[in-house]
Amino acid sequence: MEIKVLTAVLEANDTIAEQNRELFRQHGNFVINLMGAPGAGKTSLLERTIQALSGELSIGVIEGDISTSLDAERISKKNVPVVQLNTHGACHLDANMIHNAIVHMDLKVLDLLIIENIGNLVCPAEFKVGEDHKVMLSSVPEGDDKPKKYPLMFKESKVLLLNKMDLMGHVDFNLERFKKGVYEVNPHIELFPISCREGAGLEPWMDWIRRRVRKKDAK
Amino acid sequence: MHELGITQEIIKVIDREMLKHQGCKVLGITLKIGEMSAVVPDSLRFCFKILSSGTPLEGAELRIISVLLIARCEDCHHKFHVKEFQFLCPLCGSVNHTILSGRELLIEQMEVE
Repeated sequence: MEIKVLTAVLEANDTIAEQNRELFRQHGNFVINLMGAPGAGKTSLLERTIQALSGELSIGVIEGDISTSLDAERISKKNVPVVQLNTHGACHLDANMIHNAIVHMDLKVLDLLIIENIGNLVCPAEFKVGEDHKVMLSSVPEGDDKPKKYPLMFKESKVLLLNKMDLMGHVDFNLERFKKGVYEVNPHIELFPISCREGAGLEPWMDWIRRRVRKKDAK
Repeated sequence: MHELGITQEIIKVIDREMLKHQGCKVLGITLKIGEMSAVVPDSLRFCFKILSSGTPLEGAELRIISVLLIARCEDCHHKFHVKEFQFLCPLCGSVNHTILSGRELLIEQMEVE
């Protein structure tokens, strides 16, 4: 006998993600799910972002790592509330982990919540956590072929930051080939070339956040 | 890489369904997996074999139907199979599109006796 099941495998995750999203909406939090490979510079980007915006926005951070609290320690030096999530081996954050983490945060004071996902180009793209937008951080030394090799993350992201532009010329990276690959997968993505090390090119990213926070506040 | 967690979710859904059909044995589970989901069918089968071992689901066959990544051009309305994740419309070259299928990760049905 055949029985129709017709259930999305990630339905349980998506239901909790919707609950998180509703909670963020009620509190007026603009939420970014920041994804990228290990070493792309996600924590450095957070440091730069907090440095630039903490005078005007109230920012909170959730740090996802397989183990250690090294990143959370870096961020807490910036005097913003940070919750460290250790997945103990799991390769991505899911909605339930975020649900458990935000219990420890005072959401009503936050304008912006940035969730730093596990360093991984595959799995995080598949799991919603309740974010407004997924943002991807790629970096020059990773190579210009990544959009073709890991299309899902490029497809799912609203913004793509290309970090370590200061290494352009020192490694084999063809920016035109990279862009072509990106836009074939996701023609609507906003691309910001940056260098967290030198603090270059970051203003369009900060403006993007400012606009989005204002838009969320206005709702 | 996350197939283990996905397999756990599949088993949870099937266990829940089986509460309505007590006394039956699951012979097979049919999944629909889109070309653009980040799931590797072989890993899924491997995880299912391990997780179902010693449970009532042991021996059930996992059937996986792959769903093509199909998009519709929003300018000329042409429907096309997206190959190698090139989302340009092959007729008019437009980049505006809607994905019609290929992102599925769905438990379609189960076969019981």
